[in-house]
Amino acid sequence: MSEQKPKLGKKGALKEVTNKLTELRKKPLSKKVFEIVQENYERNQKNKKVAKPTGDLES
Amino acid sequence: MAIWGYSELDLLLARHPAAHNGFLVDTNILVSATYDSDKFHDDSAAFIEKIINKKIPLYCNVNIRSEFLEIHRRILFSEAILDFERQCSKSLLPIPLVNSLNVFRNKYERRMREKPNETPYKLGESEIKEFKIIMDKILGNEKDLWSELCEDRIGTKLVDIWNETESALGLNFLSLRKEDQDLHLTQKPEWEGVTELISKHGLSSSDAMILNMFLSSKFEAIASSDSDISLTIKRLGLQHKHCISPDELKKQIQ
Repeated sequence: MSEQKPKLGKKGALKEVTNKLTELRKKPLSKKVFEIVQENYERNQKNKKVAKPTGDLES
Repeated sequence: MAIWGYSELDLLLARHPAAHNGFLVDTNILVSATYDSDKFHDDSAAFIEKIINKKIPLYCNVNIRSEFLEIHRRILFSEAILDFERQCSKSLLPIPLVNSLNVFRNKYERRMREKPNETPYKLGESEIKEFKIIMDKILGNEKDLWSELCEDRIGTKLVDIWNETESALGLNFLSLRKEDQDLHLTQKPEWEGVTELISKHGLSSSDAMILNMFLSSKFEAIASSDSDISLTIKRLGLQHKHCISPDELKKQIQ
């Protein structure tokens, strides 16, 4: 098997990778994240309301 | 001399011409060169650019790739959770999550206040697991909060970042295949070497595996911005093994 030459880096390419990574890091969170929080909260509130009358009866 | 500063690259190459054959690059220098909030970002990026201009090949192994992904995963989750803490109304969140978010925000801001020139605080593995357990229970109509955070911030993006880093730097992989052993290694890296580095120098297992590979290789130089790697090389005091690090780090450990 012939010996392969090692790969070499490309001038200036590192900066591009850093910029892409920074862009990904600074990207705003998706709307979905906040929708999930809202949906979870609303479901919990609804469950609390449903559960409350039973509690009143017991006391 | 075993420890060199980035500014001494030319001197290192002049005194040890075999170092032209290639440098092993440690994870931390790859992370600091690609993460612009890292304390050593500018120095590491400039140093790597200099190495590329000199047409010196860079080498890494699977441990380095795995650690790179791990550290960037921690950075991405830390920043995403901080954004979440800043933007989400706390009144909508369960109390344990509000408490964990407050603890994280306080640690983060305290670091910024007390050590403004250091790399920002990032979550540790156990802290990420804590957030994961709580966020997994926050359920939307279609999915849970943790799954959405993973998809939004990590997805395949992290692997893409690695692939692009590998291509930009022309990273060559060292493996234990016979061709690589003949070309680049003086001996097969043995597990005993790793355990010795852990027990005598208190290295983490991942650092010990990377360093053991370097010590088993024909390479004379490793580039690292990790004080643990450079300090251990200094402690070993080997004649033909050199570590090149940020100048500031060199001063600290000498």
